[in-house]
Amino acid sequence: MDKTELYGRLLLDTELTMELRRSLIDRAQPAVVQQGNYIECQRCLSKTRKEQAMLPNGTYYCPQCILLGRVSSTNQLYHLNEPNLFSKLTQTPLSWQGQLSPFQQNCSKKLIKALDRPGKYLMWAVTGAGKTEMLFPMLTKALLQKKRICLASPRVDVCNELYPRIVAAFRKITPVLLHGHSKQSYQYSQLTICTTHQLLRFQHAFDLLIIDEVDAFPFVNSQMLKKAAKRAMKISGTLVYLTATPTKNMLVRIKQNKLPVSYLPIRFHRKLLPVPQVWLLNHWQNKLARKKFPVKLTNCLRKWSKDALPFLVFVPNIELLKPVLQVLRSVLPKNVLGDSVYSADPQRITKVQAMRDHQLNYLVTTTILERGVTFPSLNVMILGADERTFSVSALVQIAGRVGRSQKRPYGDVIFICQDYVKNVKDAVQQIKDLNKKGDKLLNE
Amino acid sequence: MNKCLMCGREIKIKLTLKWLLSMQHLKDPVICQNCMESFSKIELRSICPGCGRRQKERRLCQDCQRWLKMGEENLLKNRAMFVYDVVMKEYMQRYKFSGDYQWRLIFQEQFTNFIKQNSQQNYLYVAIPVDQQTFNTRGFNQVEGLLQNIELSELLEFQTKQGHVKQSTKTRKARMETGQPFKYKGARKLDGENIILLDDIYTTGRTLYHAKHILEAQGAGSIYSFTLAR
Repeated sequence: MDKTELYGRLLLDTELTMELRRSLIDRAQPAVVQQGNYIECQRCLSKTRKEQAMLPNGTYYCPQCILLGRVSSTNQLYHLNEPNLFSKLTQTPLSWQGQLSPFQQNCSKKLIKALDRPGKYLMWAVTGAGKTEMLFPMLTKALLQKKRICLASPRVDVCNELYPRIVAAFRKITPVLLHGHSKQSYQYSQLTICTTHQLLRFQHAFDLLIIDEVDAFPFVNSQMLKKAAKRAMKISGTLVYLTATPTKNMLVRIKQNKLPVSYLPIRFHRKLLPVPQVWLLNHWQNKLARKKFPVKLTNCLRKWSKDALPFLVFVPNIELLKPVLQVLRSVLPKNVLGDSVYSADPQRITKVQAMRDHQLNYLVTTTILERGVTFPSLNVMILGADERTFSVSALVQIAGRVGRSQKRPYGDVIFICQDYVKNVKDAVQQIKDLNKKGDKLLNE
Repeated sequence: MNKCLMCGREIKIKLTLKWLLSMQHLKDPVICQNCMESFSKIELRSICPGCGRRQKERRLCQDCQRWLKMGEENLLKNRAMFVYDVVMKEYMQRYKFSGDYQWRLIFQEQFTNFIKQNSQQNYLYVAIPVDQQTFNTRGFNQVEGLLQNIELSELLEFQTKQGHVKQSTKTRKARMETGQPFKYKGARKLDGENIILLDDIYTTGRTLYHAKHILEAQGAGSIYSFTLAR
């Protein structure tokens, strides 16, 4: 381990080699600070009541960021300033050969401008707009300017999907991929791709920080991760949020002109978003308890599988996975194969891959597949779309899984509800509004 | 509303008639019912009477038969609450090895009740100790963390002050060949006192039998044990 691994980082003494620790001993900072009845963890900046943080040996620990290794009052933190020691590029590092559509180019130009001024910026583009490609010109410019860049996302799947695309698009750069299950070890790199949790290990490192799917769990309601993102950036850095479904808070700040935004309401293939059909079937849960589906529902699923189209069935909680899968298996022909998947599923990655490889025809899933996944020619159904687990953005994202390919830019989105609740109304309205804007753009 | 320590979801509390009639305070659970049910509870009716392992018939398992062959006269009659499966391993990983002391609260109350309900009176409770080095870095003894208001007798300590190779890092064979790690810490010899040993996990039984031998040599009476997992 050499000191380049500490540039722009904030690491615990236990994460350093003995040698490096010794050479930097005068730079050590306490990892936990006491403030009255609270302790403040200096890595994640969370405060915890002393009675919850106290250990029997008289020390304190931070329960908030323990997934990255425990911080306690016996630890120290180490940091070295970011020197941007990257080799100068003489030509463009972009090896991507593709073309952006005029709409994408327009958005992309605005992003390039954002690079020159510090602060926050939002790119709001509908699901399937081709957000990643729109970033390429901005990334190219930042790389040429020797800027240090991070692409972060709350979702590990998104990071895993992003990494090979970035590697393929920028062959001259060696990006580093960091998350809890990543086998790569850390190395100093101009381009980091990581989960938002990993940002806790950085301090004033990035000139450009891009957060993809910024409205997703766990980033969206975590003060800890928001603070971490802020601290991971240089004071003069640029922070770019990417999403198809901005939070209420963001929408308000856009209206107040506090958050500059570029906006793309049309998909890369220039077709409008599929509008969900809302089916009010108030007896679906009773039927399910008797191991059945309403007839209308069964017919729809049978039709999908007869057309040999893959589909996803979303359920509001883990407990429903098993019974729904059971009924599906009983009402569909034997050669139509499916499985269930949830966040802590040990076989999660294999199952999703089997779906991609057409070994499975369908998956019954919780909201974990609401975003960051693309299956061509997909249909989706949400059972209990009126349940609280499905936020407006979750509903819009799920609908956005459909019609993403050029070959089949349409598909069925069906919301099964007992009540026509506000979230469902709002989601359908949001999609219709986006389509209106998209339609206008197409006819300009 | 409280959030589940394990899955982070909000905990919904069902108010039952039984609770209403019990006139007790409403206790805030620290994990949700779903997460609690992901642990496999051991029914005491069908276990190995020697070590408390879950099995179909109530007869001595091979491990316990081996202890008898090795010259053990009285088995520990260990009783465990949960199966040491993947879910429990993950729990131990977080609580003990990551050192998330808050996670003791997940089992503290029910493990304490389990011990009290299943043990007779006039027993001394002895928790398996951790060595000094582990205590310093971990900050707590994981067995004591799982107990609430149980008066413990400090009769055991580690022979050496330095760290030892942890049982959890060894293979089964290496565990069984581990030498006596403990020594007696009591002020005086024992005079036939009955003892209940408490530990977090019963894997091979090696640690608990080592502890038993030390106490027997000091004149203890009958010795049983309780663990959270088997």
